[in-house]
Order: sequence, then C-alpha cells, then structure tokens
Amino acid sequence: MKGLFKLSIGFISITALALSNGISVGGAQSPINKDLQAAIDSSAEGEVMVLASGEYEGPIIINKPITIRAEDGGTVTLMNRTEQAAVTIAADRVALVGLTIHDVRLKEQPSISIVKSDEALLHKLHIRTGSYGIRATDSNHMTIREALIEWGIPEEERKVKLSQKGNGIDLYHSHDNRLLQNTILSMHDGIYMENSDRNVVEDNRFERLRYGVHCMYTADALIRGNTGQYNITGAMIMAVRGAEVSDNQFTRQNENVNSQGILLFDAHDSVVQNNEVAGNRVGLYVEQSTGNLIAGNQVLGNFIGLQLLKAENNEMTDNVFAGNVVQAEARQSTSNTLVSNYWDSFQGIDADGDGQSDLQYAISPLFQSIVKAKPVFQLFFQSPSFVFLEGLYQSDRGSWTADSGPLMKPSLSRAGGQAMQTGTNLMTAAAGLLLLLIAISILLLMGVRKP
Amino acid sequence: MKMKASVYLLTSILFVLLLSACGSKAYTPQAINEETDICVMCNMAVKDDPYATQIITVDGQSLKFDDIGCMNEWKVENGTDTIGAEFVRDHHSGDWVKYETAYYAYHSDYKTPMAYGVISFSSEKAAQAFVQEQGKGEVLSAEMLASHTWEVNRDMMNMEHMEQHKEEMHHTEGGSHS
Repeated sequence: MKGLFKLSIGFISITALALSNGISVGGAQSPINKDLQAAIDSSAEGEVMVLASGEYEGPIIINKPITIRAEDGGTVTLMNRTEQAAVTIAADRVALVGLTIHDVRLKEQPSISIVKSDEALLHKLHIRTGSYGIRATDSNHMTIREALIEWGIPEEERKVKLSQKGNGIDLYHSHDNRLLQNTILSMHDGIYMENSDRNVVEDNRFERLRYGVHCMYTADALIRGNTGQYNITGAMIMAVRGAEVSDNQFTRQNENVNSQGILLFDAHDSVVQNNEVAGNRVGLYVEQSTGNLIAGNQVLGNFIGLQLLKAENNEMTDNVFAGNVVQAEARQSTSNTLVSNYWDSFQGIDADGDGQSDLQYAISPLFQSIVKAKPVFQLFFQSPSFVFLEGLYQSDRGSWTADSGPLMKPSLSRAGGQAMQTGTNLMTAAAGLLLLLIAISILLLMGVRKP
Repeated sequence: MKMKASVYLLTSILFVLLLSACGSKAYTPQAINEETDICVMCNMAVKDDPYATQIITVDGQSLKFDDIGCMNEWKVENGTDTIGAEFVRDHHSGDWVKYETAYYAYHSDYKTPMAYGVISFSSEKAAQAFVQEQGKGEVLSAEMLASHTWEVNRDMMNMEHMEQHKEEMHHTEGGSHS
C-alpha cells in the first residue's frame, strides 16, 4: 500500500451513526480507485465508511447495503474518467452522503446509476456530469435530497446541443421516491419521471434547463414548492393522472419561442393550485386535459396568461390574471367551469354588489385558430389591426370559453396579488402628483401673460 | 402601348411558369432545429434524432413530430388530404425516408419519446435485424402500420387498462428515451 493510504477498521451499527467510528479510507493525495472498490468489497453489510478528504478514482459499484460518507467538513471527490457510471448502486438501502462526483466525459451512462435497488439515500451530493446526474430504474422508496447537479463540461471546452445532455434526476418505472431540496442547473430536464408513480418532488430549484419537471405517464405525482427560472418550460406535466402541482414558482421562462411556465398536456384529474407563474411567454398552457382543478394561481406579466386548447371539463377558479399582454386564449375548449377568476384588463359591471361581474368574460378563439392554420400570423400578435378584428369577431360566441362570474377585484386571500395592486396604485398616484406639480409650475411661470 | 401590353403578358406567363415549376417540385423534408421545433401534436421539443418525423403539406408547410405516433394522431385528427409527403428517419443513419417505403419495428417495450414504441428503418432487413437484436417485437410495412392500434405503453385516460398492462412492463434497453 502507498504510504499515504491509511485504513482503520471499525464496525458500527446502523443505529449509532456517529461518524467517528466508521471505516475511514483515503488520504490527502492518494487517488487509488482499486482501494476504494476493495474497501467496499471487504466491508460488511450495514457498515458506515467515512472517507477522508481527497480525490478518489471511480467508477465504483456498490452491491451491498452500506453507507459511504465524506468526513465532516471534508471534501471528498470521486473522479470518473471512464464511460461507465461513476457510482453504480445495485443493492437496497445504500446511502451516499456529502460526496462530490465529477464525471468528466461526455457519455451515455449516468453519473449515478441505480438499478432495481430500493431505499437508497442520496444526501448532499454534488454531481458534475457529462451525462445524466442520477438515473434510477425499477427502484422505489429512494430519498434524494439537497443535491446540486450541474452540467460538468465547460462550454468553452466543448459546446454540446441541449439534447446531448442528460436529465438531472431521471426516474423510470420507479415509485414512491422523494426528491427534495435539490438544485439542478444547465442540464436537459431537471427531474424526469416516466412510468413512475407517487413520487414527491418538493422544494427543488431548476435553472437553465429544457424542462424543470417533466412527467410522462405518471400517476399521483406531488410537485410542490419548486422554483424555476430561465428554463424552456418550468413544469411539463404530460400524460398524468392525479397529480398535484402546488405552491410552485415558475418565472421568466421566456427565452425560447416555445416557453411556458406550466404546461398540462393529456393531464387528468389533477390539481394545479397556488402556483405563481410570472414573466413567461405563456403562463399556464392547458391542452387535451380533462377534469383538473386549476385554482388560486397567480398568473402575472406573461405574454399570454392562459392558453386552453381542446381542454374539457376543467374547473378554474380564484386565479389572478394580471399584467399579461393577452390574458387568455382558448380554442375548442368546452364544458370548462370558469368562475371567480380575476382578469385585470376586464371591465365588468357588478350591479348586485356580490364582487362578481354580471357580465361574463369570454375568451376569443380567433387568434389561436388563425395561428393554428397559418403559424406565420403570429407576427400579428397584438397588432392594432388584429385587436380590432378580434373585437369584431363574435361568431358562435355561445360556445367560447368564458368566466361566468369574473371577480371585480383580485381575491383577498391572495396576498401577492394585493401587494402588487397597492404597489401599482401608489405608483400611479405618485406619477399623477408629479404631473400635476409640473403643470402648475408651468402655468405659474409661463402661463400668465404679462401686460 | 402595344409594347407595354406584351411585356405584361410575358411577365404573367413567366410568373405562371414559375408557379407551376414550384407545384411540380418534389417535397423535401426540412432539417430539425432543436432550438425552435416542437411537436405539432404534443408540444414537446423535437430532438434531431431518428424518432423525429415530418409531414410536408401540399402548400409547403412543414409539420414536425417527435414520435411517429404523434404523426398518426395528426392524421386521425386532420385527415390526409392536405399531406404532400410524409417522412420518417432511418433509426441508424438518421436519413429521411418516405413513410410509404420505410419499414417499422414495434414492441410496447421499445422506448420512443411519446411511448408509442414504433421505430423506423430504411430497409426491411434493418428492421428485422433490430427486432432480432432486441429479442422481441415485430416488423411492419407501411401498409401494415395503417392497421396498427397505436397504443402507448400506458394510457392515462384509461387507467383500468393500464393496470393490467403494468405487470408486463419491464424496463429494457430499447433505444434511449427522452
């Protein structure tokens, strides 16, 4: 063995996770791949290996239930220069804590590969990858928390197409997993779930990705409290049933011509509630989706607030649509129940004082229908002539999607909307006052004709 | 005056010729631009990969799809009258191939972007080789594809059906998924 390599062995029960007694492997500058794998191979089930700070060489394969953790306050880096996964987990109840994994090559295999292994715990990992961050197949009841996953090949070194990147966390046929407080940057999709049910995606941060969260054929996903910025789309909720998408904040998804805050496609019996979608190209996009409840969302300052396409039997209530260039567009969407939403550009009449307008807010299908037939007409988005045409177009108005009782004021329960409203009022008052002062001083100084 | 009229006549004849030349031109598929192309049906970004398909309409518009199943959906919804040509890509080379002349491999376990499980090839031999290599699936011609049921490997609209399906579903190496 090399001089710097020290190995002290101690056994520890799972219950006493005190760090000091674990096996500790490594040394300041001893990148000895063989030895890390050898230490894993010679460890007993349930053992906790504590790695001393330093650089280790991957790949490693873990095929028994053990815990590998970095020493307290130390930096343990697992380098992988091969085509294989840096870490392959092939056993139940494996835990990795506090490691930095650096996968330097552009490759197919993920940095961490989990296959048919349940109850993995990945805590506080930092993954820099040239592939997928974590890919799990047929693996259930995992917890992945506080990971930082980012694309690891610098752009100046090698510029890759978005589609050459892998997903941050990729679940296939994996159920009941918890993905919490992770930060995922500059990957393909942040969290991708296919044929995977009852997964919890909570308090994660997504930036500069294709899609922040992407569901395909999943049931009962819980997506709550996540934030996303500068992605092509914040949440791509496709082919789902029974999902809950709540308290998320997706802002500034507007750099791409196809950007959206939250997209629902082929989504059924799901709840989209209390999200904030602001400054996106399209705030909420709902297509071919049925039986969903869309309530209490703040849809602010998007180019298009809401887009409904072939969406049926959805309930939309208590949403605030404010400051969007176009509040809503709808085409071929029938039997949706829209009531008690606030549309700031709408001027209603409330004769009976119940807070709801007696006039309904109907959403014109004209622009969407024309653009569907001739996409180039998007150039006329909000052009004066088009707005005029839309005003004239009333055909078949009875079948348009409409809010039957739009609110006169944003609903009080939504603090965000209120704050914004007062803010605007104050600004308007200040501007008005300033103009008045200027006018008076002009009049006083120059307006009086001298004899 | 007479001179001017003949100039007009000549110009219009040339213009008509030009138009007819356009009309008889073969339909050619456009390259995929990953930055901007999304599937006409499902809104997903179209990757520049062999799963992408394309319809060129008679008036020259290019409709791109991320999965051949989405292209089928489009045809079901919009009919085939406006279609000038349909293209799929060879799974190995990525070359555009006419839909009618291509061969297809299908198995519900094959991974494709929208999970329709149909993969296209320029030759029957290549499709057969793929099925053999995967150890499952069947080879279909374009005519046979017309009577294909186009089931996705999991239908969220009909969950009852899905539950039965779930048992048979096991992850396999059938190409990469998005």
